[in-house]
Amino acid sequence: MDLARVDVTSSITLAHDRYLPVDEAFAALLPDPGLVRGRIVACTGAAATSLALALASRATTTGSWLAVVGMAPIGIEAARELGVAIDRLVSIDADACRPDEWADRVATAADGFELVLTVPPTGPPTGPPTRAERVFRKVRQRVQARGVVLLIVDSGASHSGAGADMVLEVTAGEWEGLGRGHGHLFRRRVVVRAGGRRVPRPVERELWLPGIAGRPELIEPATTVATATAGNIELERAG
Amino acid sequence: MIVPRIVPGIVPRIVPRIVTVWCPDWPVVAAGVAPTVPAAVLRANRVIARSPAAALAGVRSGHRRREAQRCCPELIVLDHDPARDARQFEAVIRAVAELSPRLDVVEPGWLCLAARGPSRYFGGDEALAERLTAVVTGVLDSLGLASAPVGVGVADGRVAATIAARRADVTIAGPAVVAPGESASYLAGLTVGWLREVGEAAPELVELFIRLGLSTLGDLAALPAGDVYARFGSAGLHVHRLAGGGDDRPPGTTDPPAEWSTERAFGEPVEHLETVVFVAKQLADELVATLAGGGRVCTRVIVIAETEHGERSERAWYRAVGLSSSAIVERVRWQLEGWIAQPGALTGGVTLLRLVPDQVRGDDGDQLGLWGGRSQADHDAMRAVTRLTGLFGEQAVCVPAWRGGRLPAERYQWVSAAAADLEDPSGRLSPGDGPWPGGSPRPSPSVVFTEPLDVEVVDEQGGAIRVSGRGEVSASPAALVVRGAARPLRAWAGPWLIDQRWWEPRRHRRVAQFQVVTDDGEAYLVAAEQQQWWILAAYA
Repeated sequence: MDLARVDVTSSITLAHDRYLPVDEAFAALLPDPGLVRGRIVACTGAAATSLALALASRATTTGSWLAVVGMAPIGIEAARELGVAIDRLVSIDADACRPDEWADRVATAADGFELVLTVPPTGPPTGPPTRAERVFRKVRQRVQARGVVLLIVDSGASHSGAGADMVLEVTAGEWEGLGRGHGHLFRRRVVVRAGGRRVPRPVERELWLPGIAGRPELIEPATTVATATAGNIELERAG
Repeated sequence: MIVPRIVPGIVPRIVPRIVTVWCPDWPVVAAGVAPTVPAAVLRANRVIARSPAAALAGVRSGHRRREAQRCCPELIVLDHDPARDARQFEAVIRAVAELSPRLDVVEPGWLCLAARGPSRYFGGDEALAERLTAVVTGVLDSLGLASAPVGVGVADGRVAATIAARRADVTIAGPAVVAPGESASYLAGLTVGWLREVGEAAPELVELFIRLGLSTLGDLAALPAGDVYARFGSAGLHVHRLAGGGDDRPPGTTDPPAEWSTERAFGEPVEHLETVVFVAKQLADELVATLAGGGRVCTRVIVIAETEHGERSERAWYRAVGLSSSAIVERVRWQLEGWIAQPGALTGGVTLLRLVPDQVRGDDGDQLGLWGGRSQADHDAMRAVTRLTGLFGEQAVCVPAWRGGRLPAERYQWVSAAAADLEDPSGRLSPGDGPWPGGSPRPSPSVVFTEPLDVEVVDEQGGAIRVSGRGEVSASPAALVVRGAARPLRAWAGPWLIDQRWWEPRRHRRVAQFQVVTDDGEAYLVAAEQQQWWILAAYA
């Protein structure tokens, strides 16, 4: 049995079987050619929701379905503008205050959808401290078994980032186009830092999220203007 | 079988005589539902099979869950379980294989075999058909499964035989035998919709024929083949040949050489079904890639599995539109699950799995995928939607739908997936005509609050900002006060004014929308209505 298993896993697997594709804008940010199946990716910081939707967008246009669990307020139109194929978008209700219900629904969604986007339960810990971990472990097992990519949006309230394989942190965000009484929101420059257990060397990149056309765009780091702005953002963060 | 045999397309071949065995509404029968109980099996929210009692109440295949429940409120809704269908059908396959070993399983509930040999042996087509009916009915009785009468049809060609079998179960009691050479005249009076029913033509193509006034197969067959080819391409030529009672194997079908088959021998017997299926996926990918490299597609595949104790399972699977990799894997799974379910059939681990392409034709690009067919991911997702709806309730599982409007919460809304059409979402999602002036500009907010949050917007001195009916702001907004905490504003713009339904005093709304960015860089869409401020959405 073990021999057979070794035999099975050592043979070639196609790229499609290991990764879900992502937008070109993320190519320089992620350590792999796409989202690795069976992994948990946490998006944190101010632009976390847009970032998670943008990460899922390319896979939905190539046939994968996206389930959002316990995130009914998600902006459907924004998802469409970020490139998500909303004909493959399904929302599943889950009560954020009941971790067991949340885990149950995420695990069930993992049986049929290749991408699951969720906000981890934020309710006050009702049981012993290990309970949240146990619930999370159940979800992790199912995600690994089914080869699903679980995207977690974490605006800083919970601490699920610790359980994720990769953490994409939006460390700075700056909107363009809005003045004092004129203009309108146009595009947003964000700095995203990829780190976590499965990222050998943390990478930081600047992106437009959303860009002019709505979709994310990579800002080439070579230009002097970009570096100067990055420096400013560093200063802001320090201050 | 070993040497490739090229058959020139111009030589008319004798259309083989085929027997089709059709078990109507197999998914319901396999679920073990009594005929007096109204029940239906749903896939992707559509009825695919129903019990006789449900049929009497007016439930039709293709109905949505709601439509079916309206016809028959006490309807029992069952989830589609292909594994269960395959498991139960295995006994039928085994019984028929004793009469004639060379049979094709198209899907659980539907199999075909060559009529020539067994028909001679049993003394004619009628005798063979009656014998098959008796055998299959006997198996179903012994399993305790109640079914509508089994349909058996004999005719020249697979399509005519299948249509005869399917009509037999509704129009006449007993098998339907179409005399040799009569297939074309038998088909001539039937509607073109049968092409879709037997899986030979895409629904869009059939719909197009009907819109063009070609309502019967005879009308279609009467057209010159060249004209049909010019207008509809190879898919059209294929169904034109079928409508005229022709062979379902296109000219140019070859017996593939032995080296195209793929196999995997296991060093140690494998006892887990999932492991074998995993290997089947690799073999199927390999096989499909080999064939695709030469522009070919497999329409009939033989799946062979052997165990350490010398047991062997061999089945031929046929699919008119060609077998994709996932379709082959699905059939391997059906076959193995059926094998496992047979008591005493399987005593050891699997040591060998072999896929042999038995019928191969040029890939004309008329696979269903080009017509917007469904992929494996679509099937999985639709099954999951049905399952989640069953577990958590209809309101818990939603899909987006376009509503139109000027406020972010109005434009798209979530509707219950149970009531929505998942297969064809275009009607649900396409934004209607016409602009919606007054809406806030793109990009749209990524978080739209279901319950707007009430806030205050104040000027430098802390005085409330007022917006006049003409959209004039009393002062420049300086801070957003959320639950008592002031957050200074770095930038703001607006208002985008909405004056809705001014002709209807009770539903009249005047809303002024503003975009604001707080000093920590977060952007919100806020709105003033009757001097009360709300946060409608966030650009998170």
